[in-house]
Amino acid sequence: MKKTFLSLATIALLIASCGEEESTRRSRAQNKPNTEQTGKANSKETPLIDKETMFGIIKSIPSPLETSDLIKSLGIPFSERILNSPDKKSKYTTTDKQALNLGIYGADLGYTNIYGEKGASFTYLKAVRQLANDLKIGQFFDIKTISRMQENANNMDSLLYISQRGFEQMSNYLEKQGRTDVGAQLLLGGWIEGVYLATSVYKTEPNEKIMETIGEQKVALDEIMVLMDAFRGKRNFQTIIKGFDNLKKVYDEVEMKYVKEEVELEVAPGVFQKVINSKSTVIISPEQIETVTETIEELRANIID
Amino acid sequence: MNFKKYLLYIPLILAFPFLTAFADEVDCEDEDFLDECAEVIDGYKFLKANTISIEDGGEVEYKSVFSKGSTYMLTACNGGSGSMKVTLYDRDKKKVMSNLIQNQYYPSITYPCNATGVYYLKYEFTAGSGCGVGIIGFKK
Repeated sequence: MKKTFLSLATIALLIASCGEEESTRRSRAQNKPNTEQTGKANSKETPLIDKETMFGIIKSIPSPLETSDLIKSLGIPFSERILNSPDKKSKYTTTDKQALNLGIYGADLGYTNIYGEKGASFTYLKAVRQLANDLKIGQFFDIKTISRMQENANNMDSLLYISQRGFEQMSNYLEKQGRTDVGAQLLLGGWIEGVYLATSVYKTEPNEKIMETIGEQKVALDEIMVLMDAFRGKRNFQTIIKGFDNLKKVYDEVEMKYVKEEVELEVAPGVFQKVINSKSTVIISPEQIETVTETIEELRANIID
Repeated sequence: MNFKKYLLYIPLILAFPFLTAFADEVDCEDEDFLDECAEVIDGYKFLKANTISIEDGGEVEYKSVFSKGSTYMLTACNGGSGSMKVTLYDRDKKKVMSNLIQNQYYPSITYPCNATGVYYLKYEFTAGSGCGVGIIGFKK
């Protein structure tokens, strides 16, 4: 009888090892795209850089949320006037306009979220959802969750998280679907709006930190230009590429300086570590700020009007 | 009689590998998993989530532009056993910090950024394979 039991146990172990092998195979298959994150795969759509590298750049660009947070931290009051009106959402009927304006509305949503403007946030969230639906990526903004949150007055942090998570999920989905055009336009719209918010605020409330932020966009722009180069052959990107080329000319004259120093940082609660940390300084003149402002305004007007 | 007693264990024996497989398997792309991992960044604003899937001592690298004046929280949240290590490198690819400090893993580390630039985040597992998510949060 013991033999029978041992035989059954052996069969069970064999099944288990088969399962493990299958799981490993699945894991290998899942791992494949990640080994390509360094950019070795080819894409039929764009000859210059592959889709993984492209989305790698898209994910690397700072969120306009950081700019909005900086604006608020400086005590600058909320201004709905500087945002793109959510009433325009139905005007955007082409895929290009929808994707670019989805990025713009996403940045505006972040701005209203940061300021805790509940009414405006839900209006922008609805605009985001409509354009996302038009682009067949609206599934990441669950209307039931949004409606439930609307009833609760103390949920701005959750709304901010859900909005950010929705955009993150959209980007990941677009990557999987290989929709590089939409993924890039979403990023470009968001970035343009972030810089527009900073330049608009600077016009009425000149501030050294905002000036620095505008100048520091040089770093993100350098990354974006790699992305732009991949779309140079595409007709639907010509106007925006022209605008970015003009912006690049201004930023080429903006200077970034770096120095390194050893500092002790609290890297985790109560844990201090000596690290080599850099300090950056940006040198941008008022004239350069003015040219950036004009170029961004022109770029944005081409998208929202 | 004894044989009948053993027969009672057969379904359990057969089900065991499947039960353990389900227990170990975590869908790191699942929304609930992300939400659970995001709880760590309490006090910081959610910026992005890098999805990680690694096999056999591999590593995954993402880059991110960090801005001067922001403090970033970098998390390493993984499903199943083992620990996920996240290492931050600066624009010159020089190591700045990691969540493995004096042989101890921390689920999150913070980096007060003084230099706007491109940073690199490398994720790896202590041993073998695994999946997880590396969330980046920020505060001013």
